[in-house]
Amino acid sequence: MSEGGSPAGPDAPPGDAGPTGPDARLVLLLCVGGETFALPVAVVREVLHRPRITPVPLTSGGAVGLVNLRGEILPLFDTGRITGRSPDIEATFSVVVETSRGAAVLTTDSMPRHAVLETQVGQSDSTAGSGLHRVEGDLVTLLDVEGLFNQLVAGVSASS
Amino acid sequence: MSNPEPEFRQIFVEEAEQRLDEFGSGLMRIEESGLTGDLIHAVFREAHTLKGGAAMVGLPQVARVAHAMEDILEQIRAGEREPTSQLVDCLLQAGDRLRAVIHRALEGAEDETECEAIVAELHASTRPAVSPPHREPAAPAAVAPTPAPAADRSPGPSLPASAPAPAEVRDTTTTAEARPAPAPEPPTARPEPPAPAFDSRVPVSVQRLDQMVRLVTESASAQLRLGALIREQTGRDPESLREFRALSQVLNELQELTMRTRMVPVSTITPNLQRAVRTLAKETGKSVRWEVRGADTELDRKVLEELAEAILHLVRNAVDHGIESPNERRTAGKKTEGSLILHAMQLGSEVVITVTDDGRGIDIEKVRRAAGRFGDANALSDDDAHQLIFRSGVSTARFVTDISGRGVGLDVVRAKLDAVRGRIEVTSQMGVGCEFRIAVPITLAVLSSLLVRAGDQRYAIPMHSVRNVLSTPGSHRADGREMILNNGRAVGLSDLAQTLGMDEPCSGPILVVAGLAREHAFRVDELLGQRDVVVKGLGTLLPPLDVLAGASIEPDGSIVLVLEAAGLIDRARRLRRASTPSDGPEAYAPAAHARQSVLVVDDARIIRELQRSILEGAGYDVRTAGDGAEALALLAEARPDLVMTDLEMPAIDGIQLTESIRRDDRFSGLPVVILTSQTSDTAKRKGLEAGADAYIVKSSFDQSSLLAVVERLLGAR
Repeated sequence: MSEGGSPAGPDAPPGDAGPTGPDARLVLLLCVGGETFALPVAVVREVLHRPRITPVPLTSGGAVGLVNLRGEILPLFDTGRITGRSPDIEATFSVVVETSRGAAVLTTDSMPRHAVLETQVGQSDSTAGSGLHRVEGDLVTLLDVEGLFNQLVAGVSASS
Repeated sequence: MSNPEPEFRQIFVEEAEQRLDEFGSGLMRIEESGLTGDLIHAVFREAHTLKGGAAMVGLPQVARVAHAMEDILEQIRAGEREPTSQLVDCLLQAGDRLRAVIHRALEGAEDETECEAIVAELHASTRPAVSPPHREPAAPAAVAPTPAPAADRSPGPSLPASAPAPAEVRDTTTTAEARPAPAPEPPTARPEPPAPAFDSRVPVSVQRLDQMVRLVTESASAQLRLGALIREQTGRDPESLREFRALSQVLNELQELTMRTRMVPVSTITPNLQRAVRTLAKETGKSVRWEVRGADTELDRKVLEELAEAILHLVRNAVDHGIESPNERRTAGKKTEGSLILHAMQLGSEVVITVTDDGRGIDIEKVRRAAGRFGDANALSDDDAHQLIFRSGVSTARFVTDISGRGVGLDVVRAKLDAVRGRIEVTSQMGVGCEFRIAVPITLAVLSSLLVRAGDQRYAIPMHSVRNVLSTPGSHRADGREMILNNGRAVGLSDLAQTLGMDEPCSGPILVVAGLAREHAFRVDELLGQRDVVVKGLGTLLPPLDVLAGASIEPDGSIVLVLEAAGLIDRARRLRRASTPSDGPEAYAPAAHARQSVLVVDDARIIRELQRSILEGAGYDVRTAGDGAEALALLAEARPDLVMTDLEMPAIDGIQLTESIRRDDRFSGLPVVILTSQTSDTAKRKGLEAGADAYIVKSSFDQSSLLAVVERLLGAR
């Protein structure tokens, strides 16, 4: 964590051993605007604390700016906006996620934490969600990161 | 074809080079990865195409060899033979020898004896092996661009050769075969060119090169950070340390060398251009002499890649519309054979490429008329008026630039040039000819840039776009806009911060920036100096922004955005038009659309919002609707100037919406653009039959083309 970041895995609950089996349900929880999103740990590279953001003028689609991650320039997105919620104005932490189109950084209000995804209890109406799940008594939206960015890019190339 | 023209043979040789490269690499992939249907088909196709081409250009012996190769591949394809290492070797060596024969044929007759020998050896390879297979490592075709002499080539089990190949040549064989015994001497000594050195060329994947460039860039950044750390911790200037200076020098050289590895000669793209000229000339019954000068001029592979399509466009345009038919030329007192010359040269940090034809030139009056709806084109000089052909709305005028039925205009060429930070100009004289002049930076990776501050942000502006900095930064109010006088010419002035969406205006010096066809002045807060910046792309996740060329990492780890002059100027001009009611000299910019409105209809909110953002950024008023029913309700409230709709939506879809608009007299003449991910011809036909004015596939266009379509439809009204 911090600007150097930390891998998503070290704090994983005991008993989870890999991306398949039980670990397939290991997620990182992100709080954004009072709502909790779950990110599969497999797509999370690291967590950043208050990264230095270079604003990009005239951007749209929830793109906030650019972050220098050890020489790699990554786009930072407002998780609230790209998931169709309110802008994430409280963002203090960011999560670096891997997509097939490259890495990106997503904002979150507080320090993300690991959890194990429980039963799916409903479908997500949101285009960004792949289902509603129970986690530790709470209800979270499992984020489909790949789908989210595919749609974002499709929208970009469509409208852009 | 008994007496083919030399140019055709030249084309064939160039094509054969590629085919034999593919043939060789395909065989090696088969050897390494095993036989797959696709792979053997691909290799077979190369041999087959080579055979056809050879026959076409009057090289029957070459065709015979290719046929013999094809026979073996057919047996492999049919499962009658195994693609053993020996057999692959045999085919590879035959390919190498054939390559030499083809090259020699360019200078004279076919080497029939050699061809017979190759065929005999290929046939021999089909006989069962009588002794344990043995082989020497062979030079893969892709490694040695010039064919190795047969005498130095290693044999397959039945291919004789005089000497073993150099031991250091890589052997792609992975099976545990016995080391080959010395090969027998060839039956005859063949006069062939000397063996190439094996360091002459090594295929390296572009991804690996890009990775190298990135890592070198990282190391340069790390070195700068190290310098900052030394200064901070010791108070010493790092440059005063010999070790630091040595490190700097090595890194600089490494960086330059690495950048050089990305360079490719212009000749990489000329064979395709030549083929296009030849094909189109034949189709149109014209006689065209194609000439390339400066083909060894090098530039960044990515730049050339982007440029290739733009140049192809210009070349096709020259043959199709520029050069006259032989009869017309004769009547005009010209040689019946037209001339088309591509000339590349390096000028400083740029490569300039001209495409010159001696055809009929551009009809400037037609251009003026086509541009008339944007303003008084008659007030422009001929030179300025010629530049209008790169404008969407003018360039799409069929008589000017519709390229061989491809339905795209020279604005596409300009867009391609934009992508590589290039410029294009045209000069033309009626009846005499036309010259397109393209200037592009040699490399996109490192740009000499002027660093400026606007607000609290620093920006880099590539030096090749900076014309000058005004020492007396006074401005004038003229024609309702802020202008400056630069070298006696009136140039529009904008504020950089405000052009980039900031509220606070700049209060510092003024610099004049050149785009593709025009200059514009920007006021900034501060000039921070000139520096080489290593430009990194912004990836594919961010929406493309015309005003940005990329970003660079500073020694302190901060990011500096690199501005794109052409996009910046376009945006500044749009903003000026939006805030200026009057028309005038700047009316030549895309159609004024400050008060024009667009209704965006799409059930995906994210797409609606992105479209809104882009259109609003371009100065349009935008309303959005989530489906056709909502759109009809909004239409009833107020008529927009254009409707942009998705096809598949709940309730009332895009087709139904378009039909409703067309049925309603209140919306007579209202342009409708269908923007969809559906690519099928049926969907497109349905959309256009419903009454849409344009049908755009979401995946195939970018921001500038979206705006171009909107401007075209609104500007043409």
